[in-house]
Amino acid sequence: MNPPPLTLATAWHNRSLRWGAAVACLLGFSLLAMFGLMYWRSSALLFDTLDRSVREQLELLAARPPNLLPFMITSRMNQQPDIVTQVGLFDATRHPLVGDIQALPPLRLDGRVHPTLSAETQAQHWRAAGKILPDGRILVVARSAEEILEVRQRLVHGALAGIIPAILLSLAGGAWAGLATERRLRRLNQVAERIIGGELHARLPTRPQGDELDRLCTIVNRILDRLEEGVGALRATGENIAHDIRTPLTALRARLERAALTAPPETPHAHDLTQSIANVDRALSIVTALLRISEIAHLRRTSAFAPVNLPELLHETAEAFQPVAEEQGLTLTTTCQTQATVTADRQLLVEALVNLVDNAVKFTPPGGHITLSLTGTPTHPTVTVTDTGPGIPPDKRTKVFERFYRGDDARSAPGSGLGLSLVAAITKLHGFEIQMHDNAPGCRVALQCWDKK
Amino acid sequence: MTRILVIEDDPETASEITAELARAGYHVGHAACGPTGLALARTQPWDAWVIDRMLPGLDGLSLIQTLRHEGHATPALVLSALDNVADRITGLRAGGDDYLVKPFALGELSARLEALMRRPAGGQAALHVGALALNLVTRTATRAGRPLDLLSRESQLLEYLMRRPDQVVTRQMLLEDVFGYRFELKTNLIDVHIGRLRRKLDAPGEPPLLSTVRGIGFILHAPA
Repeated sequence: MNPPPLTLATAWHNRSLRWGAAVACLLGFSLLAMFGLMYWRSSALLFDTLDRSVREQLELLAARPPNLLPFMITSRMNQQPDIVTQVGLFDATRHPLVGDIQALPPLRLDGRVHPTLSAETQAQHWRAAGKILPDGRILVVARSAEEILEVRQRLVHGALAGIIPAILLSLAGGAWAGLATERRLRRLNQVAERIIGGELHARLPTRPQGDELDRLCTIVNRILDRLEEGVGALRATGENIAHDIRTPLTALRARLERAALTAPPETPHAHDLTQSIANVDRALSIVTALLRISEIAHLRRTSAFAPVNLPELLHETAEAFQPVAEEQGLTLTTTCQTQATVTADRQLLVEALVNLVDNAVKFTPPGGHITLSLTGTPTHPTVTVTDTGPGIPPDKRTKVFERFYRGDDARSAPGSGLGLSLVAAITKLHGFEIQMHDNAPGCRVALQCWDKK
Repeated sequence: MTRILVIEDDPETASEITAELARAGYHVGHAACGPTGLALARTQPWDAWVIDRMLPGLDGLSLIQTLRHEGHATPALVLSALDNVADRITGLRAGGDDYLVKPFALGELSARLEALMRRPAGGQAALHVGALALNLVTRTATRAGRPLDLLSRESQLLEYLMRRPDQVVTRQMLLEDVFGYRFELKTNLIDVHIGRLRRKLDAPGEPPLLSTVRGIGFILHAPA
């Protein structure tokens, strides 16, 4: 199975990417918190300073003798035209008496500093304090808070300009690191798949600078070295055993054969010799089939793979077995409902199909019917062989593909009993799938000829 | 006398092979290891070599490669305990002309050797064996002028047999060369096809052209 293309959406399931995102979020939060604190502390400090000067001014003026108050206010205004503190004196009916505050702003007159708006048409933010004097007049002192508010606004803008790119950068950094790790893991995965597929010589890529993953890969590669060595040794042993068993058996068979040639024909002696040769042959065919199965299991997929035309293969096989089927009173028909070419080792595919058809012919009683069919689509073709023989009970349908399993009915039939195991090995090598179903009566073997790996 | 050199290290197998070949009327030479085999093959004239793949001293394939390099064209039959397509291909690439997997029937060995030494000539348009004729272009066959109605596989079988008249052709040779089945198959496939061919070749009253060699294969007789 091919992994889906690498995008942020698919990579979301990747652990390192999620970690990257989490770190970016955390960073964003801490930046915001830090800014919030700074904002709160600095504006508190600025307002404190402002408020104190307003309060002091109010207390200072309130402590003056009541009759001097208007004069002090105006002379103050004359002395310092650019003064930032504004003062207003109102009578008990809230009419302005003197000062630069022309209208009384909405304000609690408790002598404390409150935020308020000036009473002009274009209202300004003020920090103001007001007080009702003992004679009933109202004294108000105010200072504009606009500057502080502007400073605060600039702080917010500055922070946004700093924090948003920082969060985006850290998100991007996290994503990049996550994707890079994901890509590396995918490369490792691909190599691992190839190794599982039988390419024992393949090695995981490592980099000389070597992080933890590289060190792990190096260890896995060393394990693979040992494994490859072991498999190689095992294989060599297997081949040596094949040689060692076959050589004496060849000599034995030759001696028996020569003895049979010189023995007087039609005697019990000659009969025994023929029987012995048959038994040696049977032992040998088991050894041969076993070696062949393990050999196929060790084959690399690419060794002899080429396009194979399935309809052609079916017709050829049917044509070869047609006379054999007829001789046994069976009919054999072939139907190809699709055109399909698969990538396969032709020799092995022929071997598998021939084994299936040969089995069907062997186990179907006279009068029966065998079909060979090709169905499905050109990319997902299925080759099916059916017969009307005794069939195989449901619980044994997967067992028949195991080594040495033979149904009770098959014990007397010639062969090594490894035919279906061989078919299974060939199927597995190609990544195909084989299933056995009920044909009611008989058996239906379906070979799905597309790579399922 | 036809001379055959057997290079085989297993004494039992070697003695059986040499005994069988001597019985069949060949003069047989034997070497038990690679270097001796190489020396014998170089210094004496042989009609065919039978060479085991696994030999002490010098393995069979390198031995054949060396000899082919030196210009020797003697047909070589490779014996091997290994049976797989890749091995067969390397065996044939190294210069072996045929490849026989152990264990084999002695009859198979002599039939293959004979086939190697009497390589059929190619390039003909028609084959004639006695009264039998096969036109290779039109794929039509006749016996004494009587047309034979052959299926394509039957005509391939007949061609294979007609190219090797009076030689034993084994079931395995037919399975491999006519059907392309290079694997062990315990079936009567060949016998059924030969049976059908035989019935088409021989009209009632005509002497049979194709006879069975028990346990080994078939011979197409060319009348003297």
